[in-house]
Amino acid sequence: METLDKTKWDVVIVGTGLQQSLLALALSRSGKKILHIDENKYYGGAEAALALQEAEEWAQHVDTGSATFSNAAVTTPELSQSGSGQSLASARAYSIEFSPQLLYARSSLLQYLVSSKVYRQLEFLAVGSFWVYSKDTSDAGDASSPSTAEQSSRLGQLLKVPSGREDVFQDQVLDFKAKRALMKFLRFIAEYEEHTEEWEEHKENPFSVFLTEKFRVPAALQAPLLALTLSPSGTAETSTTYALPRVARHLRSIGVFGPGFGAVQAKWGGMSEVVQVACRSCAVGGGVYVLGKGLSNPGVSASEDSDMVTLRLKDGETISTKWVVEEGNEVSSGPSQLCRSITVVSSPLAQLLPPLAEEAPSPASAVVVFPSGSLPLRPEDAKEHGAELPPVHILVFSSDTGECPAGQSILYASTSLPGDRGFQLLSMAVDALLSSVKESPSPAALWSLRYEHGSDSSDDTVSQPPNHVLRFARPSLDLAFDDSALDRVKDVWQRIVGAGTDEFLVFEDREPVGDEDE
Amino acid sequence: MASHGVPRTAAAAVRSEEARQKELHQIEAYKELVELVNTKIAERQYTLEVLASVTTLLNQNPEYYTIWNHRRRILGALMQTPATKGEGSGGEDLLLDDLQLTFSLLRKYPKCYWIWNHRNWILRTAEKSTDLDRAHHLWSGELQLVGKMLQADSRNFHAWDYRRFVVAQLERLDSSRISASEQVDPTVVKWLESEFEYTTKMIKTNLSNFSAWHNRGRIIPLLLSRQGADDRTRRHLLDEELKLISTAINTDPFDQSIWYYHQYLMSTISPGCPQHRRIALDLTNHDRQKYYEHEMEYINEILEDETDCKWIYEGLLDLAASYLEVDGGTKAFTTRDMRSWLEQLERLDPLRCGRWRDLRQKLNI
Repeated sequence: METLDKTKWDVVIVGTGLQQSLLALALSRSGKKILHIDENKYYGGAEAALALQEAEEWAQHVDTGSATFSNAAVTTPELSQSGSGQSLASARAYSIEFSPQLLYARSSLLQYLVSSKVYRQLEFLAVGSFWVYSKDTSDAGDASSPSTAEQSSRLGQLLKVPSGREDVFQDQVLDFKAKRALMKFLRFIAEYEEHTEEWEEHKENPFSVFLTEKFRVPAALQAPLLALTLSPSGTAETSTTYALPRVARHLRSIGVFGPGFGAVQAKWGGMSEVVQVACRSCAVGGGVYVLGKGLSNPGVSASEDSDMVTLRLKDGETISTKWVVEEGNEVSSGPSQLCRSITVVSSPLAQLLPPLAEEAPSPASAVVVFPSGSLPLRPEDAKEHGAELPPVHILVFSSDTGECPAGQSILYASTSLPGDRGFQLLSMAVDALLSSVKESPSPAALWSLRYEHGSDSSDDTVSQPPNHVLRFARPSLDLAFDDSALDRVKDVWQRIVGAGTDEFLVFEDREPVGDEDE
Repeated sequence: MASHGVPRTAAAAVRSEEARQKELHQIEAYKELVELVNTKIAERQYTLEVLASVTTLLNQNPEYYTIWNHRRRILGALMQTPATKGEGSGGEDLLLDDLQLTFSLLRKYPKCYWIWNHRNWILRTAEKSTDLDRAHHLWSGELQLVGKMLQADSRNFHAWDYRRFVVAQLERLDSSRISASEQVDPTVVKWLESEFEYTTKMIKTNLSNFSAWHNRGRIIPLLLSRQGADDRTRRHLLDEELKLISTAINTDPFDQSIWYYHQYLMSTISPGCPQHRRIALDLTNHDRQKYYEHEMEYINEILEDETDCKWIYEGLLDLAASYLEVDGGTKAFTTRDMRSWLEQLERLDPLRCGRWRDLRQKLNI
């Protein structure tokens, strides 16, 4: 390919993370000359999905490269240890994500994917049951017949979170009083915005306190409701103001696309697949893509033409452009740092993915939450952090997601507890999850990767970017996609295209397509 | 996925003159077609050509029921003319084509009586000229179709009604394979049991499914009688149903369908219930008393958590009235209790004050 040196562009987008890629999609029909580069050899940035080999290489280089990731290590248990008889398939059979996320049904991202017509290139799968771990959950133990096990809301130490009235109705564990309390809360949450007087006074209180005082929700039910918030903070730190909209979002999303589920994910790599589709669209619209190209530091300098800016690339090439779009260091919202682990497991863990409802699509994933204090605490922790460690969230992905071969599954675990202790907590959670699933042979880990994601936002000299440079705040590390990312993309898009009648991410099909009916 | 919750951009409110002219032409064309069809029918031209015109017309307006009648005339005539080639299966082909046509129409108009009716006619007609196995196959296909329609809209009462009809046909066909002398017909029982299971499934999917509860109530006495169920089995079923409904009421006392089924169960217990509708046949007044007391007890408990649910007070008053019928004394509750429930009803549902006044008189409080 010819050199980029001395080329002129309208827009240079740095990095192929989700935000930048959505911007590229938004600009794909604008007729602007777009250069989209990424210093990695793969698309997606922090939202990428890699094959196992690539992930291992990435882990080796992580500390020298990015500010986003650190402290990465890969573990491959010896074959003899995993008595499961299963072994890793070829590296390309896997596509593991760095930042897996759930996409709630009413997310504006889905609406934009539809209005921009790229939804046709994506396949969405249902996210299934939410489970909560409790060491107090008495083991259902007995060899229940398959039919009751299907409907059982208990699996070892895991309790299924009821996601609506019909779930509450069928639950075998809750007594009438608990069912009534839960239903009363569900009715409240359906319209909580209109009843601020009911929760105003509890705004800054922990959500659990609000539940007890206002709804007399028994202790056993608080963890499941908290689990629905996907809060990275401990129980005492999750406020009512934080929790209410998130629980509402979860419950209001159920049934929107089909019975029994409220969130979806894209097949073949989640957001990384959205990135691929978005970049492809921009390329079709004339955008130029170059991987393995980064900005040197400092990369931006003034140019003679006051309309343009000069960029210096790592190989020494100089290009000029009207606009530069990059991701800055500022964290947008949510936790700034997470410890993560990815584990390939030798079993499909089907018991965690029971069918959702009559005639609902099979779930491709499940969410398992380990609330504060549910994992054994060491005396040292108790002294340091008070009684509470933050929760652990594990997303369980089946092979239906296309991210691992049939017969296996992937556990994506995360916690906001930093450092080695965070990794230990993750490890305990993964072990606890695998022992709750009683199968023979027992499920075992075949491969795992752990890393820290995000940075301590202590160094926050958020400098004003120079003229012509537009910066995205880092995307949220929230486990559920945060729609405000789209607001940021829209703002940048607006700056670039200026005033006009075009609508953001609304396109006609490039070619006439067949009937919309499926 | 069929719907993404995306608001479709509204059609432009301002219709151009062009659009208006286009519409006027469409209206003209439609009127001409109706003219044409009616003329041809009057002339008794029951040909394939006229059938095609009828098809076009019905695709535009399936609610025009007279045209469906015409269609059946044409089909009847066509089926009688000797086949021009091959075996006499030309008739069945015509009918099968109509099944296709009505299938796609049903998806667009799932609540149009005439389409359901026409399918019914097709299947009954097809059955006359074919063997038992083929007939069974056709009706089974129909049951599957109804299942799919109910999946799309589980509260479409047309579909529920049609389902009962189709199941009855399948029962009939199955029974005709069995000697009529058998007291307990296993195939009928099999159908009733599977239909009962079906209502369980629908209710678990959506507690507010009035049609599912209704169907369940219709099946139970039939099932018990066809099974030749003994008193113990009957009592067991009654207790199971009461348990089910009490869980439902405890889950969502605000849902009317659930209370409806509760009323149904209470009606089967009441001494005034006709024999063929009873579930348990051996109830004494003492038994009835115990049932009413139990119901009132758990419903009363719900008042601890929900004070503004009118169904609860109505339910309690109904039970109180029933209780009084089978027992002179008022050990389970007092007149004062009844008055206070009535006051709550007056408070929660002031629009029906006339009705509550009536109830007050009837109950003598």
